[in-house]
Amino acid sequence: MTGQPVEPQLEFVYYPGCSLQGVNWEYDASFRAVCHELGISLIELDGWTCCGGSSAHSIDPVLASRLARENLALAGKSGKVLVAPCPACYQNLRRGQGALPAANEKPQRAKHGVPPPRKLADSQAGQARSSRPGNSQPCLAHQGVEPTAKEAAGVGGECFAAPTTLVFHVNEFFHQPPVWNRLRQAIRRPLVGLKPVAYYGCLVSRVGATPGSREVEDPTHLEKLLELAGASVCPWAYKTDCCGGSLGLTRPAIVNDLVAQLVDEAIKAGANCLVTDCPLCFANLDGRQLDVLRKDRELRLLPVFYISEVLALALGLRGVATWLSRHCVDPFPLLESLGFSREDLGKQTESWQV
Amino acid sequence: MPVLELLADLMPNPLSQRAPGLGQDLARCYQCGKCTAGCPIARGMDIPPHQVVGLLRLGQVEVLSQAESLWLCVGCGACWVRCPNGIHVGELVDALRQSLQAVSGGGPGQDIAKFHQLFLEHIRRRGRVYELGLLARYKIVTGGLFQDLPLAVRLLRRGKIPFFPPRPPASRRSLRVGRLFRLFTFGKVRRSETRPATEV
Repeated sequence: MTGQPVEPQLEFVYYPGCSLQGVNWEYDASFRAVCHELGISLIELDGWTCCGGSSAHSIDPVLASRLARENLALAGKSGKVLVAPCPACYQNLRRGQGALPAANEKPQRAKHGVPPPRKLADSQAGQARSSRPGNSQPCLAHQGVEPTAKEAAGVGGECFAAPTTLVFHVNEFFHQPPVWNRLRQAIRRPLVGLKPVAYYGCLVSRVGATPGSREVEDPTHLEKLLELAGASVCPWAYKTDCCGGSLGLTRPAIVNDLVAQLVDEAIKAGANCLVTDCPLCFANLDGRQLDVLRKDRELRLLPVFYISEVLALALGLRGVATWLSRHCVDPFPLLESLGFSREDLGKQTESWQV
Repeated sequence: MPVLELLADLMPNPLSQRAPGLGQDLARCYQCGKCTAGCPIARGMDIPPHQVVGLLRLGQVEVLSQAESLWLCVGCGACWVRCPNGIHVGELVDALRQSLQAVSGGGPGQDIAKFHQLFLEHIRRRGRVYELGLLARYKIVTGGLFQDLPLAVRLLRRGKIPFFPPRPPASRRSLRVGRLFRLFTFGKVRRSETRPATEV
């Protein structure tokens, strides 16, 4: 993006989530690097807390709602759009925006028809609605929670601004026209020869979805991003099938089964790698392939990438090897066959490294 | 549906009676089995999703409280997007977990329940999750320390899991997350909360 005229500044509030700070830090690093390259600033949400993962809503819906709204309230104060790359965080935050129904009341059913895609411009509208003064009743999810000193003094309601904060997942984020345009202009190294299948996992396409709409069963935004990066995407039927999620820790056998099936199907579709945008899917697919291989017959290993890593490759970023060398399934043979040399990938770049 | 009211009565936390799954009209289910066909975990379940709905309609709460599938559901929502009648079995199962936790007492799948509880306990104390600590605790508590050892070694060797907990959050705010856990009882009914609370 060197030599571009100055464009309107793009700033987002960033909610990395626990797994991007731990096992899946490559996702965090590569996403930050891509944004830095595109001149988009990510401001990490100050004082964010865990969204509750898949545990909070399993055990207590009110607690799940509280955890989400706590973070939404923090983000609401900035008035910017919140980006949450992890689908589980994204799901919990979006769910936190819906009101809990009154006891024994029917939840509202989605009407038929597809809701329009959410746009950056919506955030201003949301902001106008949320800054309504004089609302001092705690929301349902915060009943029974002691207010902080500030809230008690009436400064900044805890979750009054929260529900209207716009939350984006990585796909939505890259598909916003200003981001998309910058990305399109910045592609320097089209990934000819990369034949990925796009794996969405189960959550992203189902959050806030209308059952029966095309987007639910056959989302296409990852494919569009991959095609933009020059890859030839292989169509397959398993893009929204679940990887087993958190059962990976408690019931490894079930997850190993699911992973074996997904890898088999990807190979049958003619793919030479899997691309995902979910840290949990990545951990299961990448981490467990070797386990499956040990027990199993003719499973071929298939490298797994995050979408942000693929974009970083296409942008010609040079710190890529730092992330890729942490994958359990070695992706270097594939990349070398595409014409990347280790030196291409290996050199560290400077400023995005925090 | 009276069955769902029965569930609501079993909820230990009065605010939990607002679980989204509780408002569903199960009379609309005609047992077509699309939920089970789409369920990724059904292969490992003792009672598949459509039978969960069927049993609940018959009021067989006792049977369900001993089902492992209750804890196997990962909440992916495949049942919901494919159901011709818009029933969300995942949310129903969430509500079942919450209501039956107090009564089931050590049915199969309790190790998964334990995992969720440790996860939440972790958030209450730290504000965020430190994976290696959580993992080790879970494996020790359930006695399966060596179950996933090859994976853990692989992740540690590649530097994927940081061995030490991450630096504490920049602001101390996230450590104050504990106050959100008020009224939250990890499935146990506290005497003071069995009577209707004023918050509702």
